[in-house]
Amino acid sequence: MTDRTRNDEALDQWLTVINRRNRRRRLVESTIKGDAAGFANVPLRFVLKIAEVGPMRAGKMAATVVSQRLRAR
Amino acid sequence: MSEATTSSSGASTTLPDATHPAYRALLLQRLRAVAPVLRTDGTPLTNDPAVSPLLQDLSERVAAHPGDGRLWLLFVAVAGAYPTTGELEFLRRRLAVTDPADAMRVVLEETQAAATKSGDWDRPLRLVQGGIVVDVNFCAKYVHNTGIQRVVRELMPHLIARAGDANATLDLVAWTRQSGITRSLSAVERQRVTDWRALAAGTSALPDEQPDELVVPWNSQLLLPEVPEPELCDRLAALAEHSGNTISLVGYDTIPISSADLVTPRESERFAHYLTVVKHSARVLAISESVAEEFRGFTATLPSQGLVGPAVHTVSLAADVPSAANEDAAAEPSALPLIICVGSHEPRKNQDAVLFAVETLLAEGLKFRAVFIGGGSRSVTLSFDRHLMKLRNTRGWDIESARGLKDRELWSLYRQARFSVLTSLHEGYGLPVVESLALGTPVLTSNYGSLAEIGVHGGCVLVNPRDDGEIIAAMRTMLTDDSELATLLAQIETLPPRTWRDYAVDLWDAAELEVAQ
Repeated sequence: MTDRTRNDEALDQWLTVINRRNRRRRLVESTIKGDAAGFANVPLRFVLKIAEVGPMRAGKMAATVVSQRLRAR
Repeated sequence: MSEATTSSSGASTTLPDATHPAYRALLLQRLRAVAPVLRTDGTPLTNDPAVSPLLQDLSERVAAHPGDGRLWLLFVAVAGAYPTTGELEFLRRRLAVTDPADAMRVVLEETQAAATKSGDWDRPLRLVQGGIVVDVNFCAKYVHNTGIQRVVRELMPHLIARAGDANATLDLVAWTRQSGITRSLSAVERQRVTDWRALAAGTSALPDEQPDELVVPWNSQLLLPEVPEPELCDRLAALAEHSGNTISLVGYDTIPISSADLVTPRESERFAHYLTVVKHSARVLAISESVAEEFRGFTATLPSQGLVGPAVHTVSLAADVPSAANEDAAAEPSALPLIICVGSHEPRKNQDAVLFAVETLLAEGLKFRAVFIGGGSRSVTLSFDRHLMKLRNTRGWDIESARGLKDRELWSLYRQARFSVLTSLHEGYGLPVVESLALGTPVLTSNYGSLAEIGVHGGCVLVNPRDDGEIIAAMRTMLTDDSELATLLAQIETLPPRTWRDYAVDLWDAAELEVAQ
């Protein structure tokens, strides 16, 4: 017999974890992408990126951004 | 404002439907999108806005019949991410030993990691049933435009037109920021893929914005005209193996594995993961017969894993340049005969052998100009360019490198050149060879593999790229023997044209890209 209350609670907990994770991710992204952040915040944004995706991928993304900026000149 | 209530355990909590309403609504939308195909008995969905009864219902049904991609689809709808094979198998096994009354909670537990790490919680989901989905992730997101990107961007407008002829629609998709699932393209991304030439020329109008949604194929055909990023491969492999969709992919080469000595270890590792997608795919559409043989070689290893592997077809790329290339190319003739060597600068392209031949012939007293065209890693190009500078300064030779040329500058140099050189050690196709021929310029190229496939039809001199003496002798002849050059030019005139439209039509047929009517 399905226990609707237990299911509802399980779903609520599940969504709470999703919410927490997405809130953190959005915070990181808004800091990284924010136009107002300015050049001085580049090291901070890079550190946050490392925290988000790991050093290898963050380095790769940084290299891509730099090369695209250079190409755009 | 959420409302307080008491749970079965007696603890004070909140009414579930009042918490995280946006995520709850998205989850409900996704479940409703997949429910019609998971509820095969045809019972209509109720308008109940609560999530858990529907999720429990779908979980029980899928637990009873998880095959034919049903478990994969439920996972996608709940997590907002495609599963890996490991995640899917774990869920399947747990459901098999779970009481049906607990099925929903097991589904939530086993999708939690994917949902938090890779799930997308910003967009609704649209199921593409019996359609054609094309993954153009890289070309949509980036403006980089060499090799594979050029093929994709030339192909896509013609493939869309071919689909239109068949009253079909192509759903172009990229991957979400978390690399978890496919989504529709923005207007700018669509333009990068379908209207590149106009975009590059600055004459394009931005297309209409598309709905921002997750796009999930179901009983559909997924075409991969790019080589996917490594972080996508596990989920793509699971899609190929477990979802019931059919994957066809364009096979460009197996160089990172079969010529691992000529690439970085990272490229080889990345390609090895790509092969996990290949082995579960339905078709490889190889860009040359030489590449088809390479993929057949890989496929021949699969029976030892109990797999059949994909069918491998050859669909040769186009031998075409934009019509504007011929117009742009009305350049002033060079005072000295010009030799150009086109290709990204890397050991595989064998530029060092070409430079050695150039130095040898200039030292003999022949008068000509040489230009090495193509970008590359600074670690490689720096020493090469320094050497060229030294030769210019000390010997007065007219040798230079051109990095980052625009297309029209490249076309102009092709037209000015007496001949071009691509004596690569291993190529999937050799776009510089066909582009040179399309612009009426003879080519010195390699005498095996895909380059020989192109070269045997005329307009080319074929040499062993590992034999410096052969390269030097052939270059000497092409520089000094006008009758030999005239013969090559006459052969070029007789070459049959092959357009990107031809390529798109052949690709459509070989991939059997038909939609369910």
